[in-house]
Amino acid sequence: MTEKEHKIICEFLKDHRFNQQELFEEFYDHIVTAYESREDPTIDMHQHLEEVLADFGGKKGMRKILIARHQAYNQIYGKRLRSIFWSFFKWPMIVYTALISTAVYLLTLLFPTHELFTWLMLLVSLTPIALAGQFAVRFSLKCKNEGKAYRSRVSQSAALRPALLLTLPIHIWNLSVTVFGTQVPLTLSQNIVLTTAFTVLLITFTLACLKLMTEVNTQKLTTL
Amino acid sequence: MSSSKLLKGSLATIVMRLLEEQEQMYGYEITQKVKELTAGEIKITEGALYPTLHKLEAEGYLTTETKMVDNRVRKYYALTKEGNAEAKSKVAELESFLVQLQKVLNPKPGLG
Repeated sequence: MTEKEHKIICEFLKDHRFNQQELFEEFYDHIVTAYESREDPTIDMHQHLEEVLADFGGKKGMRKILIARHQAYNQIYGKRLRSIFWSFFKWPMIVYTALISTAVYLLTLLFPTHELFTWLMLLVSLTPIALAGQFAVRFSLKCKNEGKAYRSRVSQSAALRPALLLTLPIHIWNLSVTVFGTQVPLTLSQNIVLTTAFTVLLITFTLACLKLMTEVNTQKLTTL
Repeated sequence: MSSSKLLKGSLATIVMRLLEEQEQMYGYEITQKVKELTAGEIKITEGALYPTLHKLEAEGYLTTETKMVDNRVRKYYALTKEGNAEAKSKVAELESFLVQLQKVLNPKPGLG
């Protein structure tokens, strides 16, 4: 494999948006292995890639593979996130959940519930995004330094996806303030039991998201 | 009907059956194995193979492992415990279907 041939494959994969680590590595290996074992040695890399494209079902087929890969990761990490989240309600992790619930309840006694709830929502929804950003930048720099053809990973974006859904309560909250004025959210947040329960759920979901992201970024995800 | 259309419904079974025998395989290896076993009569296209592999992985039937081969990363697929059970069930189902299909295609004359 010459440097020129390597660059041609990298360009080909980039053009078809296979420029994330998992996709790039798997299909780079596929293309190179097929090229090395080609029956006709006179076929050059450009001709080989034309054959590859045809075998992959053209641009449409490549797109289908791309979507299937993303969907598979979303499904895998969604399943893993659910498993981590429910572990917070089972022994021994339920001890932490009980401690969180007590802490939130005590905070509701010390601070105005409406403001406390708003600040906690902001904190829990932004923490995973900040962590994901940090992981993404670190990974991108590492790839750049090592001269890799990719800068991100499919698994990173799949692990971030549920965390992005966390911002949903904030949007609903803001929307309810806009539509109904401050009255409805204020009435809801004055219910200490409701506020505590919802906040504890948000916090445990955030912790599950953070654990998943750490697993993905330290490549420790083996239980799927 | 083209053979690719006939193959579509049984691709997951073929992949799982091969992995049952070989323990772990990579994408290109699967395509070549099918080509070899059928003397080139059946050709699995990558456009059909990879979405099938990814789907089986997402369903928990396959697990993956990456290894460095010739200075590049190679992704190997292997059956999980659930995958092994599913492979057996799918193969049995396909075999039974083929027996029934044979009866339809080549009906034996009735005794009565």
